[in-house]
Amino acid sequence: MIISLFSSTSVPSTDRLVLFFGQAMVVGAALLIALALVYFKKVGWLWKNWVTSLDHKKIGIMYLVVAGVMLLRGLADTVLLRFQQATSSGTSHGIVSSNHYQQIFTAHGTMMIFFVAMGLVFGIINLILPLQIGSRDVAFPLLNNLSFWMYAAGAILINLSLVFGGEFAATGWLAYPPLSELQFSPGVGVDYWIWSIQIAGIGTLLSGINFITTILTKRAPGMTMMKMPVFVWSVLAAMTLVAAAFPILTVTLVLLTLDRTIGTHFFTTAGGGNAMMYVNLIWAWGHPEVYILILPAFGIYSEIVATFSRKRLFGYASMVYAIIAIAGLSFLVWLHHFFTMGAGANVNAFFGIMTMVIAIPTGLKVFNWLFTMYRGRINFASPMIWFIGFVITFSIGGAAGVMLGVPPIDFQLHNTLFLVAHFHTMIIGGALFGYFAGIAYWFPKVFGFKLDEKLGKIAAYLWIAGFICAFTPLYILGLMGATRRLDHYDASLGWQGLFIVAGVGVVIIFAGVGVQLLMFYLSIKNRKKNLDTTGDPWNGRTLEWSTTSPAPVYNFAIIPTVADRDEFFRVKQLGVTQSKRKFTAIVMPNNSSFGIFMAGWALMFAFSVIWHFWPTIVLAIVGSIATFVLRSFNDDITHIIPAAEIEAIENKRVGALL
Amino acid sequence: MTKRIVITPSKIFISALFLFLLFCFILFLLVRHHTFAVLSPAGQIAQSELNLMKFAALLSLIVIIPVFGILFYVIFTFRESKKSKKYAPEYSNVLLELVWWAIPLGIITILSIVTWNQTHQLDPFKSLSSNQTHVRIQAVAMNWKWLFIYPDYGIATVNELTIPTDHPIDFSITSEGPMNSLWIPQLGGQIYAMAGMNTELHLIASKTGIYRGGSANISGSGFAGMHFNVSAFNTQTFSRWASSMTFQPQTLTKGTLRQLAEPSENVEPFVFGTVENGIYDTIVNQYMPFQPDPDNGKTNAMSVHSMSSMEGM
Repeated sequence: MIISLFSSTSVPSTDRLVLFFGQAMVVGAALLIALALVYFKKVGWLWKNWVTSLDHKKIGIMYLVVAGVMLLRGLADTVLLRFQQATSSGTSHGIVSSNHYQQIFTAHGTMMIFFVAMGLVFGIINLILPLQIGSRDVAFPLLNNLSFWMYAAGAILINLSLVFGGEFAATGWLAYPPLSELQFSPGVGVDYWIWSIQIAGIGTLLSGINFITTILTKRAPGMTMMKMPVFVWSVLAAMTLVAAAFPILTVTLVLLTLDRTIGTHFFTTAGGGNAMMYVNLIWAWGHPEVYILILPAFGIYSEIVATFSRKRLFGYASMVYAIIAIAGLSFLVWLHHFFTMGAGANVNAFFGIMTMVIAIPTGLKVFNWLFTMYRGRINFASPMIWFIGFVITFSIGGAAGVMLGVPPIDFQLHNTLFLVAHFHTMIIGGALFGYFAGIAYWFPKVFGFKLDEKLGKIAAYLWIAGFICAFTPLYILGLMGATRRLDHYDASLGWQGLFIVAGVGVVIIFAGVGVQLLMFYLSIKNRKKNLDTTGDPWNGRTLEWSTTSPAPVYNFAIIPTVADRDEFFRVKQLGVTQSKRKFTAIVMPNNSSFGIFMAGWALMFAFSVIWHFWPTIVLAIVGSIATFVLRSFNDDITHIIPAAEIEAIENKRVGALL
Repeated sequence: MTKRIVITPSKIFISALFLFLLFCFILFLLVRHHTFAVLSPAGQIAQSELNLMKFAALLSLIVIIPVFGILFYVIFTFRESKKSKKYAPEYSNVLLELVWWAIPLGIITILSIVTWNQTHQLDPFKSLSSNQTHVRIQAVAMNWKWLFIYPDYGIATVNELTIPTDHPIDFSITSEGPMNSLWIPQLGGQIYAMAGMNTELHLIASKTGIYRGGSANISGSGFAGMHFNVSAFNTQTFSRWASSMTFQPQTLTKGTLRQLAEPSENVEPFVFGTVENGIYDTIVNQYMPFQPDPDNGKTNAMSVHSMSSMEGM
């Protein structure tokens, strides 16, 4: 039998224990959710209101939920990683074997980038982007639902790798060949890795196209490009990167798949393969990917700083040009991930200088945010705490990045814990803090009540403190010569104390996560106290605050006309009072199960290819074609909300502003 | 009656600062007796790289210090509760914006010029000029140990490296299997070891001592054990060492190479007293579709034919 829960009998006992807990967790959680749904008779509700919904706000929430679950999963890996490195010194070899340790850090990286960061980015974009441009939905609502389910299918598949096969890839999160080739990684781990990312990546690509089209075609009348909120600009830039970079990932993974399944020699050592080609290709996607994660966070900070400083964003045009410059340059720096491959000095110097050039628009953005606060009236709500944490960590991480961008310095710091600390600073301090800030900021718009501010601030302080405690030792360890991904080191090196301090940092971060969970629980429980009856809890500046909280399914009963960058702020200052409005009927898309079925077929296809089980491969192909054909014959895809019903909904709105 | 503790921003700031200083002190206690390999150069290359690192760090302070200064200034001056009279909701200043473009631009311009020069100066492929003889070492990353061949001495070592001081060391690097990275931080930066490829690294030790080296790129389960000690001796001691090693009984031939390449972890250092000629080239060229025929130096006609017929397909 190919599929067995315990296929690997040679693994040491602690490994098997960890593995068993992993499997029990995945299976147990799935069973528990299924049972709860049946018990509370919520299956139909879930299907009708969420699974098949094409409402961008609901899709956004689903993204955030999946990303949140994956975040906890990725953090659980962190505990094992830190515990191993804190204990595995000298004669002690820690709690897991080297191979298992490598599986854990590969899982950690893969989950955090592809399923946490990407999930949070698309969750937040879905929640707020259409509202911010005064639109009723994205350009292609059905595609949006499909994108989410492809992402969810990828997330399911990566977790299945623990349950069926019992191993994860042990190659590092980018699976460099020849290590990831059959010769050195004969198990199914790498195949699971490839296919989870492949499926989720196709979802991402579709989303990218969807949001580019949305921004270009669905803006409210009057909102010219230079009147778009900076968040919209940042999303446009990030999605352009998605559309340009993700096809590279898709092709690269296809080539690796062909090597592993039908014996081609694209990246193998023998047969004329060239592993360096893979490294180039994966980073030609990988570096833009970094900016896909961070640009939307920059956009979020721009919105937050202006709102909470009660001031117009300083240097709007500069901000926009900086975003465009960063997006463009992000395609010219991929080689800085492997200066050590031995390209000539001219090549290395070119990519090194390009890397530093990115620091110019980035530095400018930081100064512009600070000068947005200057002469403002700053309200230090929880999003601002995240922002301050961001400025502090990001400046340090950015300086470290500029250092790593100088090739001769990189030769000394490449693949050390200094590098690990640097990119965690950028992704946690830069991107993740921004997503958390964005969630706190926009939560009331989607749910109709605010999150508990006090707990939100405590969580932010704990995260910032934990972050500094966890990663400062890694910068130091890097300078002491500690390379990354070591499952064991000599006691004489004196690294253990620092690893223990880093572990304490993770404990503090966990406390922060605990407070965040408590914050969600208490905020939902006591939501009556934090109700947002105005639709504008923060004294906002952009269009999303002009509609009620939670926003109705059609977002805006009447599409606003825009005359200013901070349109809603302008309207509030003019003090326009509510006049008698004339409502017209609104056409909205019907729910559809197309997305979950297509993603289901994709999941079946991938799972069958991993196990070389041909009947279900054929079934999946036939099934997806059939689903596609069925959908295309379905003409009943929209429904009309009559004007009377809209009037009824709008009249019920509490404290509506416009 | 209990007193209510009022949390003010300055209290948060001062306690954060205190905690941070305490944290730094703990870190200092933890590291004070240990080597900072990257910051303790024992050779010219590592020294130049360290100097460059210090220069870049200082240069970035030109941005970091104002950022932190402005950040804390605005936090304390423009909080809502202060009701600052300078509140200007539509404030903009093109001149300041230009300054924000100019400062990073200036720093990056300087750093770019330095980067261009130093990248050429410190190109790992560039041979070091010296009036001393160069010592050639062929490094092969294997699963999971390092093989160092001394072609000029006919010996080879595994998981240990011995070099003379003040003589430029010319490394040729390849891999028998997954990619690795050869790194001896106290002597200088790293270069990848890749199968079927030859990379180069030129280092020099200026003082005697024992330095740590290892692989910086994950290559499989035994990767963490791929570290080794580099003993830098003076010229005389090195020559004595090299000639004494030729009496070691172990022999490395193309035949026994397969055996050595078998996966093994945490291998204790040992020496091959005799090494067959051309082993390194054999390892590098093993994936070439056709090999030069050693008898007449011409390529195998059959292979060439089959390759060209493939292209015609």
